[in-house]
Amino acid sequence: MKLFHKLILASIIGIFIISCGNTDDTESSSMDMSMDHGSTPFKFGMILVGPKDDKGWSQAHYEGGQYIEDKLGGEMIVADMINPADSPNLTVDQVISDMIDEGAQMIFATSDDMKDGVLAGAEQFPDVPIIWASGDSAKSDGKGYRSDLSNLGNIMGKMEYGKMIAGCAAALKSSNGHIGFLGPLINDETRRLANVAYLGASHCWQGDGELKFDVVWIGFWFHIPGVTSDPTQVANEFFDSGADVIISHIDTPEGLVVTGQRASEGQDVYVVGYDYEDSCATAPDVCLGVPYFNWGPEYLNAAMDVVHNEFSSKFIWQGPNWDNMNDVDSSMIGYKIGEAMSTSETTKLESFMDELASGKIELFKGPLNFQDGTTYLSDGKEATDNEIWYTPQLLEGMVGDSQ
Amino acid sequence: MFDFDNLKINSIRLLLTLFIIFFTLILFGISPFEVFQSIIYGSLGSESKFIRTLIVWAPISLASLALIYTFSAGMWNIGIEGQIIMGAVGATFIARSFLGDYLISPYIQILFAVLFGGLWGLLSALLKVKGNVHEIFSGLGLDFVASGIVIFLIIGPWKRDGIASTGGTDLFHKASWIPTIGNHNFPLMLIVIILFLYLLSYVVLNFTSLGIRLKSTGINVLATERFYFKSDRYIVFSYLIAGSIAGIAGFSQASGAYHKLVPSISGGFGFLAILIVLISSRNIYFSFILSFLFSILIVGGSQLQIRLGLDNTIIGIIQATFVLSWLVLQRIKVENMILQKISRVFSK
Repeated sequence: MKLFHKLILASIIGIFIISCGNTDDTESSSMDMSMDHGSTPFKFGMILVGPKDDKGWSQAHYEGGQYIEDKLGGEMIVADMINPADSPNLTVDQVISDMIDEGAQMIFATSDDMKDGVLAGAEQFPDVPIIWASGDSAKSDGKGYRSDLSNLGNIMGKMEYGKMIAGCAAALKSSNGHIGFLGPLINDETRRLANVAYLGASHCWQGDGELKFDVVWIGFWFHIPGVTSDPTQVANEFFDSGADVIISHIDTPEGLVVTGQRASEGQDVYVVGYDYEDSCATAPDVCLGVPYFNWGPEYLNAAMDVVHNEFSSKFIWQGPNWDNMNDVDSSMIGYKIGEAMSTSETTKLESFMDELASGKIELFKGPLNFQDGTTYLSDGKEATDNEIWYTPQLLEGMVGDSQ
Repeated sequence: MFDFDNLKINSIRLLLTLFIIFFTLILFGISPFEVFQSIIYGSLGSESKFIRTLIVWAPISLASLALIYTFSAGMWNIGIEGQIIMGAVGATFIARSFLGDYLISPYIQILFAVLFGGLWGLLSALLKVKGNVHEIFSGLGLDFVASGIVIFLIIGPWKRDGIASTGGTDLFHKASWIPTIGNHNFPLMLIVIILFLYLLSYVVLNFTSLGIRLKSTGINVLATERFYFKSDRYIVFSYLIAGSIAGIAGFSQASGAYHKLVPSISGGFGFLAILIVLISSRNIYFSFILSFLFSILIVGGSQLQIRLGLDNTIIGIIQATFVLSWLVLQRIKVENMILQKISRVFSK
């Protein structure tokens, strides 16, 4: 019992010291937070579907939030891993309400999977501006348009271009013309981006024989053990079945890890990353590059609108800044060329990018057929925005499920 | 009727356990006061937060109640997760049928949830009594099968139009949501069901021959034959009842919490309930209270990141510390010593 008393005493002292220490911390940090405009500091919520350091989709959004903090000041409230598997019984509308409780003046919800919760949250808090990235609720001619939700806007990047370049890079590097597309779940967005990767690849494929383009979907944006297929396994199966380049389209970098391992075993295999600027760092020697999102500038615009009381529900589908795709302050879509590209391949890829930029190459132009043989675009016809955004099927020539 | 000595011992144990949790949090460099203040505010701080806690409490308390039956019969019902999941499947089946648009839907959902959950429990029991398969293995296996069925349904026949995602099915029609009252959607129907089932179970387990026979099956299977009843039959009963109640927990998850079917619909609450029933040594009051404490931890804990910027896993550490230290304290019986000391001080 003596020992027990000592333990109690020690913990009381410990609690006292720590609680004192913490109050000091919070005071000093709230001092830093004070901003020049208005009396209350600008706070915004950032809801992420995966971990904020996933080296992929979620981290890109998180850094978009940090960009706002850098440029505008203010404070970001983060909630990451908001999906039913990682946070059971926590719905997105509940997170939105908690963030507003904590003083958030605007919310970013950053996954298509959050649809139900975002719509419910926007209905519940009509005075709080919400941005739902990759959604279509503000697209006035779209299927999911909600004219009643004037506080809900959408931001998405024209990743079509990034994925065309990714496909082109994969085809330039592939020696046998067999490419694996590591897909997440199936919806309009992922079909659209798988299709453009294929279009880019078939445009740039110059080898013998026909291009083989396999698409395998794991079932969600990232691996959830017991729920989705394992992307590590899928990537390995691609290589086992003869593919020599993988285009990763999931939120996390398993595709790069597997390719790196295969290469260190002596295989001649390569990979294209996705989502996050530095994803090549996972496997630099085999990385052909990465098309990535730079959410910062558009997120900053939206935040500025809120601060200046000028927010309105807009559907923003922003393309790259073709003068400098990798400019952090202006380009929504970037492409970093990886170390695995040889000089001549890089030259070819750059000229492809130039032609895309100048409009000399228009890949969404007929004749293009769907997988089941029906016509997508008749000869010479260019796709409208809606035909691109709402892609119902994979294209003819691709192998994989459309639904 | 009420065991006050037991209450005293458990209260002291609760205090000691909280103390150990405080100490653990300090070891991690986190202020326990801030954490607990935040948890309590986050779970009980407003009407809507309290209701959110109730929605989490519903499946946990029901699963705990279900387990009291199987534990009474001496069965480790690891299959509880699968029974919850199948209950949710039964509820979703109705919510997605033509009945889903009518206000009667939730009531039929309950029937189907009970049916699906009960049958899933029955499978474990039959494997046990007819096939002589140990219930832990059959339960674990059936859990996997149930989650496989859910994923198949979500990505196959019940998928959203044009989408194949494990994110979940379409939202149910509002008529299929659990009926609520008030601005903040107080789930009166659920609360009534829970209170009714707890009262009924209290009576059944303590004052009926079914309860006594369940317990005697649990205490000594071999002795039951001398009292002219078949323990096998009571094992089957316990599983049927447990599966049915767990099915209602699944209904609560599908129609009350998510309003759709998601892959991890059980939320791991079945396994959590096993811990709760172990901690409360099958005591029905303590299961009731403890399951509420745990739902406070879960709901409040989910906001720690937003409120304090802490990692979500902290709540897992708190839960684990709670369970472990409780079980250890139960073994070493410190509380009795403390009680004796206290009574000595007061008697002087």
